[in-house]
Amino acid sequence: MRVLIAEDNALLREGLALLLTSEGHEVCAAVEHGDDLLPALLDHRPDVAVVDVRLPPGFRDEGLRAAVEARRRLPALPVLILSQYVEHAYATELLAQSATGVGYLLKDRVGRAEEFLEALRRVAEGGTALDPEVINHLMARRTGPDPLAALTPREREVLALMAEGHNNPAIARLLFLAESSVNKHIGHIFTKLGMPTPDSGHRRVLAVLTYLRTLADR
Amino acid sequence: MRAAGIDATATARSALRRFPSAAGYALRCLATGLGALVASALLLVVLALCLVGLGLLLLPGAVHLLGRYAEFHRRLVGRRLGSEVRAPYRDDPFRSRTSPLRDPAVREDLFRDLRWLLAHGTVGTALCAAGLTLCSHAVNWLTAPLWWRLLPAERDAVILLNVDSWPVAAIAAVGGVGYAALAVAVLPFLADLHARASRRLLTAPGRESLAQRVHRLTVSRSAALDAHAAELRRIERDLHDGAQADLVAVSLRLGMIRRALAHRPDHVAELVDSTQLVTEQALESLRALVRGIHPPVLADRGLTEAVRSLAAHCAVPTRTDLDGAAGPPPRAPAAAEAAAYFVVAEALTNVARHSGASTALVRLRITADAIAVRVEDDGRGGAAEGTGSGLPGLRRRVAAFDGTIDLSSPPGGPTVLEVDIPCAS
Repeated sequence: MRVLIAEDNALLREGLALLLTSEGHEVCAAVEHGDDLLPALLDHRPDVAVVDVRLPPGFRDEGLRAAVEARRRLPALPVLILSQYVEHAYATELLAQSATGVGYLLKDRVGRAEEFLEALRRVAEGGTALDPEVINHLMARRTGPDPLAALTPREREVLALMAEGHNNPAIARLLFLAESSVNKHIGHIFTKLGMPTPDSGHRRVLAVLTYLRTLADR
Repeated sequence: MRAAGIDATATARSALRRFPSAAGYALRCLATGLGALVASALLLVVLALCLVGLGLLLLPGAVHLLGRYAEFHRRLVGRRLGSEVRAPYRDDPFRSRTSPLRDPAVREDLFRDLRWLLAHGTVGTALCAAGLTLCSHAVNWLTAPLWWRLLPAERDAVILLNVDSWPVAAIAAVGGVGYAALAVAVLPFLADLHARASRRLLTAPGRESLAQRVHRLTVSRSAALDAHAAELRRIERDLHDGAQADLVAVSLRLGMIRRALAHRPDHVAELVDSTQLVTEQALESLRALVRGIHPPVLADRGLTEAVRSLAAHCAVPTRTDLDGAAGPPPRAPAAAEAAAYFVVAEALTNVARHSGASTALVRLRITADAIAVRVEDDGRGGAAEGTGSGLPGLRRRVAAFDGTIDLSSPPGGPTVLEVDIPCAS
């Protein structure tokens, strides 16, 4: 894969480049300034971009802005956003465009090399990778009637992994379950929440996220 | 005898050297003085027009122009005296801009500038005119032999002396030498007198009433809070984009090591090495961050020792004159100590970076009421704000304590920075 990195911290930028090249990927550009990001994205059209939310000059959300703008111009451009902390608005803004080829992870996750690389691959292939923290926030207990309360703990786990962007085989592997039981759990979840069962894949992720977001906004 | 002769020559030389700049200053001041006279008259007209309403429209513009005119003259005087001439409170970044005339500091500025305008237009103009008249007489008499014959016979050729023959012209020329000597000796003195008197008028502190004092303390307190908030944001950013991201980088390397253990064991040693390097770099930047917040040496050993350590680490050989060498110095409030510390640190950085000095001297006096810092170097001078000196930052830091900064740096040096930080409650 051709990967573009946008990260202002030198140690982390070098580390990411080293990790990716040692995995056989090509780092086509490593950007450290927010103003350089959009031109670089449009210029290199990488297979996937790893972008820090906060970049100079303002250290606010320059990275996210550039990524959103680049995806407006090149809709299929896969972008994995890294953030130092979970900010709900960031994820919402990214997903508002489209849930294909989008990732939003805490920076800490890059320490888990396998999971990080897997998330990157998923995003590059047009999938979704949302940080468990984001999903936790979305599923957090709230006041009033909570439709999620009807789910068993196992079904909640499956729902969370679906929302993070994992497919059925991955969910089965992560929960040490057979794929057939995962399918069964998913069927129950959609029935209990009263949602039409989507035909899997990205549409399913989107449906789950939309559902959780409407719950969270209530 | 011989020594005295050399002495006199040297004195004459130095007077001659000083003459052109003094003459230039006097000329400029004569021009601005006449301008001030005209401006005073125009201001009176505007005030009179206020009675019929029209003046009220012109007044804000007139006040603004007056401020600009005084500021221009401050720079003129500052260049003459080789030190910054600054109106008290003028640089106060927190003074009211929405309703300026309600701000006592703005009113002080206005009255100070008005007093100056009147004095400069009258006494100042007269002083410069006197000095320059002396010069013109000298030229007149000196050159009399060259042109007296060209004049019509019935005209007085020279003031005070009617040149109508060669002998008189010769006398005039000889007298002209005396006149010129007098002008060379007196004009620099007059120019300095004028400049010093102007500085007094242009920087005169107002008589503060208690209400004004409270007002000033209120704005300086809000300045302190602003500075504090800005400092917190800086620290947050440094932690967030520095230390925290560095730790992520370390974690990332550890992840790679774990992966290499399974797939490429021969790479592990190399990765461990680079991980350690990354950790050390992260520690170094964390140390720098801590030093920037509150230097450990300040907390542990106090201001005197901290300043001694700063001087010892300065690239330019720096002597120290620290109070309380005999016994433990009194401890000032921590915030005031930190401000004084950063003043010295910034000043020494400037000395090392910009001054070209061969030695510097840091003097520190800590009393129960104030911390006084003086940093002096023998460099090329010409230090000014806004040339990457970090001086505006210092000003803000010191303003938060209601303290004062005084920078004198004429071209050719020496540069002296004096800072007073009150710390009595």
